[in-house]
Amino acid sequence: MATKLLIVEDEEFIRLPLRDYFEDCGWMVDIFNSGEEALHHLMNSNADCVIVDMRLPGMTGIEFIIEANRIKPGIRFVIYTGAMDYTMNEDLVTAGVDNYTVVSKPAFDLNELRKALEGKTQEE
Amino acid sequence: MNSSGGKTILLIDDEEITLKTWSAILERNGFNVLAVHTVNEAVDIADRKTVIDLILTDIDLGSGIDGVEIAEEIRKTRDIPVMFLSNHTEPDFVQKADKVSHSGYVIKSNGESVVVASIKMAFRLNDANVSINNQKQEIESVNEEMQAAMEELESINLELVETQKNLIESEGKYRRLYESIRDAVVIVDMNGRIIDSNPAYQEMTGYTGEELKNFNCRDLLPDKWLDEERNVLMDQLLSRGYSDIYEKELIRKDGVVIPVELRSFLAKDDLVNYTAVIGIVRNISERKKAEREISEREQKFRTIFENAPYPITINRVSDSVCIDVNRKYQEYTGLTKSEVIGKCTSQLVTLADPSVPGKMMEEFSLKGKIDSYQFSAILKNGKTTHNLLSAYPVEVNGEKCIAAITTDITELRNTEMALRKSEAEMKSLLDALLVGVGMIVDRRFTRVNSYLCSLLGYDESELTGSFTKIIYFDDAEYKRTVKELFGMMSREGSGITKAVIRHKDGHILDCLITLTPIDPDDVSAGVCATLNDITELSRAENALRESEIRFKSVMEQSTLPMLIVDCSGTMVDANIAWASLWNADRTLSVGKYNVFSDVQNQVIKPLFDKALAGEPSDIPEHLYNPVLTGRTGEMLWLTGRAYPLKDRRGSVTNVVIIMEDITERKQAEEALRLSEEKFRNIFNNMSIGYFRTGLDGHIIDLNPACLAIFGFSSLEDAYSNLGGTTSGVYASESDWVMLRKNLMSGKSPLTGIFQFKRKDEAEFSGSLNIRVAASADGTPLYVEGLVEDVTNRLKTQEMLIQSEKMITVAGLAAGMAHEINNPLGIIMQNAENATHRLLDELPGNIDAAVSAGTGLNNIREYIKLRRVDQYLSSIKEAGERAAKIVGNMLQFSRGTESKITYLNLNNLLDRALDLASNDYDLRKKYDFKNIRITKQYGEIPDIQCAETPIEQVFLNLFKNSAQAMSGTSREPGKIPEIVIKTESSGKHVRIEIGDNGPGMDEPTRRRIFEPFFSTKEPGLGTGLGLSVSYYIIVDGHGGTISVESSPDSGTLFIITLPVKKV
Repeated sequence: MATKLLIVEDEEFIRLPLRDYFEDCGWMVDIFNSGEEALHHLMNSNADCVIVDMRLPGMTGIEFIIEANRIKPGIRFVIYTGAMDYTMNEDLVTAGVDNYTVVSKPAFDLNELRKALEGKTQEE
Repeated sequence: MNSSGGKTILLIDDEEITLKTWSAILERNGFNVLAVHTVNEAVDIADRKTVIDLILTDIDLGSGIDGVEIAEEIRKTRDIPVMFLSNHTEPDFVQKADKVSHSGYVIKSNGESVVVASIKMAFRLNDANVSINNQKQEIESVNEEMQAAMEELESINLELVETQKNLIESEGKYRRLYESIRDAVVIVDMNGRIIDSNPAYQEMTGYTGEELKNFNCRDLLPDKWLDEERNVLMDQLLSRGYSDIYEKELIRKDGVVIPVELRSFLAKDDLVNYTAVIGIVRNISERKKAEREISEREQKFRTIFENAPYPITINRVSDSVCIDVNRKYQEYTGLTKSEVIGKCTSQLVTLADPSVPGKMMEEFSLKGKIDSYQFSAILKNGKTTHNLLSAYPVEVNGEKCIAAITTDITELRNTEMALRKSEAEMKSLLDALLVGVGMIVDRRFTRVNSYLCSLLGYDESELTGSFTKIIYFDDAEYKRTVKELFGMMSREGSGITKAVIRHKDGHILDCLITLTPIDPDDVSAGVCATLNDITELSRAENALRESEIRFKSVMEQSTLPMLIVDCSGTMVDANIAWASLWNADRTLSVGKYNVFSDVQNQVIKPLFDKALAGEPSDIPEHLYNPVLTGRTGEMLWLTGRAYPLKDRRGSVTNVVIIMEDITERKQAEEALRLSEEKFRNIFNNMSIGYFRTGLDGHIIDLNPACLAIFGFSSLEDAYSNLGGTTSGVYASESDWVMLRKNLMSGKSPLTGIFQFKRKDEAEFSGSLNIRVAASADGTPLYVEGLVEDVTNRLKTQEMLIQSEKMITVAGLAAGMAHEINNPLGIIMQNAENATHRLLDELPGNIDAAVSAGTGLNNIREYIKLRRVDQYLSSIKEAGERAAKIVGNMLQFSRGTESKITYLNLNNLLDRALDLASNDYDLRKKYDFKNIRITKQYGEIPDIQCAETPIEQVFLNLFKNSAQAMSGTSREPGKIPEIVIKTESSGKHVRIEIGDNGPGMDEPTRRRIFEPFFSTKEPGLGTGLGLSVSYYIIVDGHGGTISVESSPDSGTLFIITLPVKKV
């Protein structure tokens, strides 16, 4: 069964090549412009993993992760951001979220992103 | 005074006082005194036949009248012994006086006893003389009288016979004779009845002629004579007609019985019958009396002669043979009377001068007597005696004799000589005395010594006899002094006082006068006064007093506490400062407080002892706890001085302890010392160069930093290299000229950055702050300044400016990272996706190629032919570079914001090594696996740090090492190696990362932490790696990072991180 990936990214030319890349990999990819849309999707659907930008229109990526984790625990998150803000991690810790990886944007190799999504980061 | 016998002395002295004094003395000694002042009075009294036994006269009676002359004058008429009382001892006077009298010569000042003794002696001498004279004269006069009477009687007899004849012949004639005859004649009848009597008889009996005629001659005859009368009548008268002259008595009418002598004749009438008896009667009362007196005198003479206290001899003039000596003579000479009688004097005694008898005889024959002849004789007992001999002619048994009275004056002479000697001694003593001495009798000087004369400016003669009053400053002072002295003398025996005395020339002296009576029992004997000039002493005393007042006030007002103690340390005096220091009551402490009763003061004991030995010494500074004295407060610092006070002989009597409370000074000193030390430390340790020069620039002092800046090893080094002046340190001499000109014109301080020259001629930029130091009144003293090598600082400043820029860039980057990363992501992902979809054998690609009417291989061929694949990879690589730059720039803004965790750096290093070995860029150019990694991990604690940045630092360092060791200049065969060492040093963990690469030169080494400094080829490094690392370690974690390196010896980075993040 193909991995179900959600991409929450407001930048169209970021999310489209990512969708193309992961679809080429055989994954089932759904793309969303905002956290709210993705959350809405998750109400009725499942996902294995999520690529989420920090800065989004509407709710932030962190808020999304916390909420998504609440709705569907077990989803792996990869925070894909160009301006990493470590203090935000405190919110995640507070929320009890620990199944996430941070990948700096831009990723030099999309394979790196894939490994993170598959949970094959150095943490494991 | 038993032997004075009420003798009367005529005392002559022109001085009232002397007169009174001596009168008193003489009267006290039992003499009657006739005191007269003048010559006239004396002569008057002498003329009035007043009884005078002795004349005692002053020799000098004033107004040029000489007592000796007066004595001579009086003695012309009256033989009165004269004795001179005089102050004169000159031989002339003595001789002169001696001519007049042998009785004596007495010095007034000899004193009462001597004078009185002399007077008595004179009386004795004179009495002897007088009695002998009187005796002699009386004997002579009686003899003469008898002779005359006999002659007269005989002539009367003849006359009577003649008269009888004549009577017969001439009644008238007879009658006249009868009437006028001096002898008493009485005529009685044969029965004895008085017939007639002449006036002389009547006078003799006291009856008239008529009365007598009623008497029988027997009526006038005392009964005892009746028989005698009858016998005369019978035996003589009747038998031969007349009687011998015989004596009988008559009873006068007044009843007095008088002795008479008479001769009776029988008167015959014409018839030759006896008719009457004529008696020629002479009153012999006088003669009888004289006879009796002669007898008595003879008796007296004998008595005197025998009992006289003087040896008396009577020698015959004719042969000088001795015919009589008295008892005293025998006693005196030790010869018995029988031995003496019939011998010459020279045979009896040995005379010192054998010519003496001859001379005496000569004088005797010349003057008829010897007044006083002095001679010395050696007696039988061998004793030499001095004698005074007086000799007078006497007739003994009709022979001319000499009565010689000898006076033994040995004792007198010895006394006199002793007296003279003592007098001379006294005079020399008085003159030798360095004190004025004056004998004062009745307020006049009777005697003064030479010192007194010179002290007062008078001659001895001026002062002697003067009233003492003349020497006093004024009358009041005289009265005061005398009153005081005499008052004191009467109470205490002698007096002493200070007096203001006037020198003859008028100047004033302060004198100390003492007064002592010469004879304590007899004030009239005079007083002895001493006079001491204490003017200088008074002056000195006043000076001393003033000095003492000064000293006292200085001591009192001194702010230094002063304590005067005796040799035992007991307080004698102290000043106010002392009392206030110890809060003590001085009056209670005097004589009680002992310095050493306070054990703390044992500290000063050795110094006190030293002071007692006469040596002043400083009391060292010492701490003193005032609590023991009852004074509360903090410990006192005391110092001072122990100083001996000496008396005139140099003995230490007291010790002055001057204390000084130097607590404040001590504190100030301590503060000063600290300040000085601080300054010295600053001077020595300050990193800024400090210099001090003269106004002309000559070097005075340079601190170590200054020496270091200019490359000198020492001040001497600097001095010799610069020729003593700082002008040589300026790279441009005109700088110095300008600076000096400005400084001298009052522009100070001056600051600026100048180019300086080091010892090795290397130039550097220095910040100079120079000024002229001036004294309080503005006089320029020296030049001082600060100089700092600011070459590095300038560079740092530049770097900081750069950093500032970087921070701005970083901030900017942080803000726009997100925005830039998104486009970069688009570029890179799309390029990657493009590559994937063109070249990878994806099912989608194959399907798309087929539906485009070709095969994937054709498309790949095309792409490669047209190098599209290269374009795509270039796009991606460019994106990656941009992304890295942005990523690094972001690090500046992240810092402490990174996640802080506790972790072990050994693990982190391993992870960084792992990363390095997998690094894409590194792998491209250099295989990290070819590098030998040596790990020397120590036991280190987990430290608190931000994991990712630290990991990045390690990664950076590994990458740099790897890149450096990949260089072309590597020695062949040398294995590149990275040595990693960790160790703990308590609060820090130390990490060393070293390589054996080419190393770097010093300029490079110094710059490697600068941002954008890179030795890598363009495109290989961002120039931010080490500066970011530096930023992370130093600013982000409070650690340090340094590098040791030199060309060809590798590079060693040393990082220390605190265990606990600061």
